[in-house]
Amino acid sequence: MNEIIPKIKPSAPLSLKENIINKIKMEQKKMKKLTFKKLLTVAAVFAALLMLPFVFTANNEAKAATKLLDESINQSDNLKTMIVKFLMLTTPNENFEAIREDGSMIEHTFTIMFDHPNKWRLEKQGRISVFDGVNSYSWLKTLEMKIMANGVAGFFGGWDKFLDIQNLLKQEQESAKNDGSEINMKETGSQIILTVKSKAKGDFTNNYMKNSSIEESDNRRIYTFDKETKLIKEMQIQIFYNNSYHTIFETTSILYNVPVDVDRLLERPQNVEWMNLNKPLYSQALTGITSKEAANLIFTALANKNIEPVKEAFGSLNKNLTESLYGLKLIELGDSFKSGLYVGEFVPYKIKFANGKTAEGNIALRNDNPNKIWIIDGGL
Amino acid sequence: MLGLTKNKINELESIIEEYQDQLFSFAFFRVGSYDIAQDIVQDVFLKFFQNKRTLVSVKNIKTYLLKSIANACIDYKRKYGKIKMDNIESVGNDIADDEKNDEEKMCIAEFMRIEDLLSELPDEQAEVIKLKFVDELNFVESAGILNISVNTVKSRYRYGISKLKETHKIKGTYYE
Repeated sequence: MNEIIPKIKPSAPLSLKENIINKIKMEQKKMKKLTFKKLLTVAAVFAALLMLPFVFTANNEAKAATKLLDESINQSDNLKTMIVKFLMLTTPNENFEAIREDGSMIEHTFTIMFDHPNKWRLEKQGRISVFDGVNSYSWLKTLEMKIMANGVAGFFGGWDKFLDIQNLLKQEQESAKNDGSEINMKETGSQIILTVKSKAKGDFTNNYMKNSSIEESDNRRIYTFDKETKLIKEMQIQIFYNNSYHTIFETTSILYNVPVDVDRLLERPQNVEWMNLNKPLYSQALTGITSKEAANLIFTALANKNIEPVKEAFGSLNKNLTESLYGLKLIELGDSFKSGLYVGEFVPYKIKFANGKTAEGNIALRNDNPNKIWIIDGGL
Repeated sequence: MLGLTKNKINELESIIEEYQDQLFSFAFFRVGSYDIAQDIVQDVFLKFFQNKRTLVSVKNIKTYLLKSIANACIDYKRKYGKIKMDNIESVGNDIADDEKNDEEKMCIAEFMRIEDLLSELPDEQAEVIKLKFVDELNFVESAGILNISVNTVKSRYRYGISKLKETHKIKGTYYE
């Protein structure tokens, strides 16, 4: 008779009420800001009435987390070096930020030398990126791609922020205070476990980029701190897809203040020609047009086996790859779309290769360079 | 929602305190995950509070909130697909075990057991039975949540119970 009655029922988590109230207060804060802007345009005289200070009261867990992060940041000020080994769901040659659901947990090593300026090296099976304090370099071990840029470039897939412990913790601290991230903290034995849960960021009117990176996923970041030293011991990131959270990142070791050979840290291929991404691009053909028109020019050039008129679009693309596409026939181009946090646009295409096989995909084009030149950023 | 006073916040806190366990349990036994149930309950409360008029115009807050949770769970399943028994063992498994406390593990086991028990029933019969035994609601309350007549609720209940007995999944007498 009692088969259908649950033997146990769950209680709501303790943080539920706090989270709801805090979100409501944050919404109020946003609404006040919006209303403030709106009213300014209508009648500035009423603006003063709305300038009442808003006091955001963080919940106890967020306050405790903030304290922990503060202490951790102070500890990390004493760091000289840090070596983080982690596994991430991706493929050996992919960009460092890319999550690939069809990939495997690939081992990465991130070595940081805290200095003035900091220097670091991020390495996995097929790809390496280095920041030597002045320039950033990134290359595939096959040397089919070797690019460089001045300053800290986006070659590190955001891990330079994520794994530079001081920035990472400050970033989480800001999240705890400002955005809708939820913080949970618990103590177990000699450890403190901090979980930060965030919603995917970006425009997902088109879902193409959903779950392609951590920021573009509903994710939770789980940090394990040593209770005594307040230093991070482990880190795990899970993203939500197919009905549940999946671990796509986990550290296998974090070592502090171990000797790091600076020559090995900064080692990179010698006597090779690096493509400098800071070099200004000029192309009349690829500016002042839509991404779809640019895609059309690019595929037409490949079809004609002559990319010279639009060579700037091919940027760092490997020559062998480019030539392997020679003679293709463009069957169809779809309307461009944006997705997630990607700064550029995607143009759906269908092509027929010279050997008769057909392929479909979305070519990624971006024009966020000074001269607004459309360049290929992936998808071929 | 603009301009919620301290009193109003206190009122909201009381409503959350009064209903959060029941709503959380309701959502959990539909989606089988603490995290998702928590998200659903939070979203429903936020939407409820976003329209401060609902606070005064809703006659029966409990039914209103349960109905909202039920709809949110349906939307969730529509979006992410119905939970299939094949996948059910993976519910929650991706979370490190030490992340889950004993209560959570036991609840997940109970969720799986009840899903298995009701798996051969049509959805509408399974839902009526869950409302009665899992959520401990009477037929009138269930009818309000499902937007159907009390008689329809009763007939779905009878068919469901009879099918469970036929398949020997339950024994004994189940009263209306």
